[in-house]
Amino acid sequence: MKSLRSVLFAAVVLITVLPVQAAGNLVVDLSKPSIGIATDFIGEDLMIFGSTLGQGEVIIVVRGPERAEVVRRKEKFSGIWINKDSVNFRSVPYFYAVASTLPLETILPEETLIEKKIGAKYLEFGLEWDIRRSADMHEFRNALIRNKWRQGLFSKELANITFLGHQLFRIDIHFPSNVIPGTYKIETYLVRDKKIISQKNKELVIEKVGIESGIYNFAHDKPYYYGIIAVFISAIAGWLVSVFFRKS
Amino acid sequence: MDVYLPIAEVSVNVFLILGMGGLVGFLSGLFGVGGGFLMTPLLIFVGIPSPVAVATEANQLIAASISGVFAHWRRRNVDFKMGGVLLAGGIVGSSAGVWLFTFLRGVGQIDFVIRVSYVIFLSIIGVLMMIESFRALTKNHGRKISKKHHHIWLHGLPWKMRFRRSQLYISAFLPLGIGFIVGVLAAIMGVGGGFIMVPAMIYLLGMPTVMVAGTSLFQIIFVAANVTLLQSINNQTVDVLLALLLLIGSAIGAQYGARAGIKLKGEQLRALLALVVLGVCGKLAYDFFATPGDTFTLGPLVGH
Repeated sequence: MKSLRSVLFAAVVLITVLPVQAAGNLVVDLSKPSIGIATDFIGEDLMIFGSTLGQGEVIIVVRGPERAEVVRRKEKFSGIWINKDSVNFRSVPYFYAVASTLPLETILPEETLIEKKIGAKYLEFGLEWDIRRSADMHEFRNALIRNKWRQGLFSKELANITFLGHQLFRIDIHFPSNVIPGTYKIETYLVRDKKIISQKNKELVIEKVGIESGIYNFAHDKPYYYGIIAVFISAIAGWLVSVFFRKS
Repeated sequence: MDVYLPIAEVSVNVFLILGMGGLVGFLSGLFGVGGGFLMTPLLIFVGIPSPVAVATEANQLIAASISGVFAHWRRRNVDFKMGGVLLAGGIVGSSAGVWLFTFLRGVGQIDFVIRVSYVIFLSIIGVLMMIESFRALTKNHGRKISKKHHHIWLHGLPWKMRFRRSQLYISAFLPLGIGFIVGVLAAIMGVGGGFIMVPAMIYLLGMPTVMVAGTSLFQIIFVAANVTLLQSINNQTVDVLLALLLLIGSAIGAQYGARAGIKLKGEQLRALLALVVLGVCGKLAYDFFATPGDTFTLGPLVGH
């Protein structure tokens, strides 16, 4: 009798609370929806914050726009270091950062990390794997990550998400001055018992603003006119200098 | 005060760039050199990507040569016909140069080629300047008195043309060839090429020395404009904001340089410039031999 009651109670709780929890047990927002790159841009911090219902660990992944990259290896050629072998990667996120409340491997199995692309070492980067060069490929892949670290575009350490109380969490992600414009995806996962039980996606837009965006877009959209104008600006400037300094 | 450069996509200190423009402008005013061969390596040293440094320097060069050519024009020291023939070679050469540049960028060797070209040419100029200033300093005026027109096989080439201002009757292939070579260099190194053009005009063409600077500057304007245009179209590597900053710095620097040149002793300064040139060259050369911190480099995949 007693056990039946508790089973019933559990059922009621499950039916009434769980759907609500599954849908709304993770709330995330960004301190700003976009970051502008203006002439005075020296990098910027973004705060990601949110709350969870109930227990669990939180993982946040920030992915920049993807583009094709090439890693080249220098080799010594009669005393001089020169680029030799190269490996192409078709889809490398320009920026990549992961933050978590605990080390990734302790809260999720590797298969999940690979599947969800969580953690730089689990990313494939669109590499066309050449089995004959397997050892080499690993080296080039590691070099890609290492170069991105050095440029501050991949986070070297796992950023530590802090909980404020039991439910509120926040983390600051730094975007250095060399980020490129584009849409940055911010994925937040709630993890319990080695499983992802909820995921929320947000987008951050990084764009060039003001004169920066004007010049950049113009150079790429209308390269002929850009070239002609660049020539004219310089020509007029040269003429002005000549006139100005002759009189003085 | 930092400024974000829209094409180079890096943040640089405004005063550093203005200062570099000023310093190189000062030297170019002082010695009457173009300064591109110093500016481009300096830009690379402060972190501007080398393709952007080269293309932007070509853009800035237009202003520098225009402001320079007026002074010579007023003194009627420009041989427009010779300039035109040099220019024809220059346009073909610089177009070929930009094509080569785009190709090398695609295969990942552009950085290497830019640096190698600089090491070669800077070491030659540096050493020659050093020798010249040492000779002058030791008062050993052992200058060879050479004939103005000593004939070599080059002068036997066909298609002779008369250049009235320079009082020359030579094959058009000579200035065409010189223009072509300097055009290629302008595209790859972002230099006006005065350091090759000027000796070539004096020793190979046998032009009167007074006509050389003005005529060389005159044709550089158009070669630099061609490079700027083609780099903008093919590689989108011309940063107008950077060019403008350099331009302001160098315009001011050049005026002070020209004034200082009148008062200061030339030979010591020439030795000093030689040292600067060799220093820049040494730094570039050192990077070839030094073991890199990381033998792997990362870059965007272009030309695929």
